[in-house]
Amino acid sequence: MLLEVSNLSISYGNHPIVHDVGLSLDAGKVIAIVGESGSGKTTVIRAILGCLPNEGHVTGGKILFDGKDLVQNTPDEWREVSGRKITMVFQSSGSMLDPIQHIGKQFVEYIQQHEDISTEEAEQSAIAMLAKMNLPNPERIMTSFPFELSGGMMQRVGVAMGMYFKPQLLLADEPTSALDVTTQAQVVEEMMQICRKDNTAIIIVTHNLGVAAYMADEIIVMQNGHVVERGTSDYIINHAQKDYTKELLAAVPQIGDEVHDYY
Amino acid sequence: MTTIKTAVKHNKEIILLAKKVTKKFPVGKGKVLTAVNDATIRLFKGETLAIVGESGCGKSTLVKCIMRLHNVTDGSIIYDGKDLTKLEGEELRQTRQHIQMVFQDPTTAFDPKMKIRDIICEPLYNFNMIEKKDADAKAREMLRLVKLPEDVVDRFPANMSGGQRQRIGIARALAMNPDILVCDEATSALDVSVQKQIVDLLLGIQKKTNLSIIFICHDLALVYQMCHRAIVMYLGNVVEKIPAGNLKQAKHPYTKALLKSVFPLVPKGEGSVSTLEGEIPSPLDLPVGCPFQDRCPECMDHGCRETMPEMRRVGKEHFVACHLYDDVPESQE
Repeated sequence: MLLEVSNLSISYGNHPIVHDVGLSLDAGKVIAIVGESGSGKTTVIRAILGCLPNEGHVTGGKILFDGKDLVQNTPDEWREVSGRKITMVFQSSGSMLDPIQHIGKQFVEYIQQHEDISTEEAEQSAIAMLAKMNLPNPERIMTSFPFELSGGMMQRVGVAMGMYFKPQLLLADEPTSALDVTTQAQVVEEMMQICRKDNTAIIIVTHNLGVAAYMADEIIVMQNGHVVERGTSDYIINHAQKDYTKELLAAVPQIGDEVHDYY
Repeated sequence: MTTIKTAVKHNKEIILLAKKVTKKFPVGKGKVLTAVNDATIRLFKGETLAIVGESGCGKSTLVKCIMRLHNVTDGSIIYDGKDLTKLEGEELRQTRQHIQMVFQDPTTAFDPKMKIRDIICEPLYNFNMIEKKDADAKAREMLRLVKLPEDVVDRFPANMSGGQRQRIGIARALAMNPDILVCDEATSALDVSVQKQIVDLLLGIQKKTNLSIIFICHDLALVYQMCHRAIVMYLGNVVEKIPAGNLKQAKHPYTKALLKSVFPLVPKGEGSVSTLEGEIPSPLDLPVGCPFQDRCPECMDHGCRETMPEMRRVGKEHFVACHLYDDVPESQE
């Protein structure tokens, strides 16, 4: 078992936000957490990486990663884990980066933070990683500023950085929500390919049930900080029991075979 | 599972006609960015018309030209017998009240220091259509229309959720009782359950008032379920016009590619998507010939790289700009 979260509860200040959430994940598997905004899905994965915003803190439960409880981690221990064994792809990778530094400089800085290699070597491997994400002209991207790239390209840079150290666990927070359908399909495909190759486990947080069903072995449905229902992709899509899950599924527009004729 | 649906059939009375609209932006050093190229669209009364395409395809620019937020470089936009592109001053201001817009991002669409009451009634104040003392009643009426509790009139936009704010945007646009409502990605920022509520709301209002809606969207499944017709744009060009209910019969390779990139709601391993290769080319130097040639899986050496395909009629209300297809005369359908 790579990751085992049990009875996790999280509060912001005095407000309990997440109640009694558990999940377990094997290497190379994919879990999707779905639910509407405010359901606490992002809070859960932020807690796993120990990066809850200001007032947020874990009030109960365990997060066992490779047998070690992450909740008890000291800052030094976090340096070992985060950015190397566990990485994160954010909703808008553009705002994760410094707007007034070249992407290449930041990528190299990230690599050298975790690995002792020369700047030239780091640059070369960063370029190779960008090329692996099917980014056109990676040398030019290294010398671009974040605002010079389109949303889809920026998101691929984010995934490239997240996957650089072949992490054991990749946390993805709505990685494709801001993208067009075509770019979304590209980024999802690329994430899946690279993760299959490196045997990386993924937890993806999304409100796109199509993406969740496509990627995930297990889907967890959350509402108001509680787990409503969980199961395999097949179970949730075809055999959901809870009303909330059914409502969520019914709200997803689908292209059917039926032809609507208005003319 | 298909719960969102339009059932209104309508007579084909044209309410808005954009003829050969071109919009170019100068970007310095003598270069020109062509955002919209020679686009012709008709909007019927009581119809929901979708404009579909990737970011950067010119769909927002086109509706901003219709709203006169941009001035067109070339072409005309006919509404109510008048060419909107030629209107100036008070006449323009008066015409504006009939075309209203709902913006994509409901967090930035309002003055954060105005109360909901004043936000909704602001356009009415502008045209002296309401007295201060009636504002409260009018705001409450609009809130009922968009199914929000009436007591939010005293709140500020920051105290509301994204879905609620989007409804305020709709209430403000509808307060003017417009003929045409333009929604620029009005539901893209919302999650699916809220999206469904907003769409149901819009269609309910349309049924009552025969409102015409231009709905910019990149979710083809939503377009299929809620719109009458769809216009597909690529790199500033309209490449296909198709009745939205027939989206699966789309002919243009780009529309087909868009359809294939939608993730179906089926268990892992059962669904497949295919992706388009490459990035959208720069609108700064448009290729000669078909705009889609470099990414098109069906690109022919002959023709596609030399001449821009013309819009051809291939079915009932179905037009395609692609060298692969020839005109189908009306008699052969």
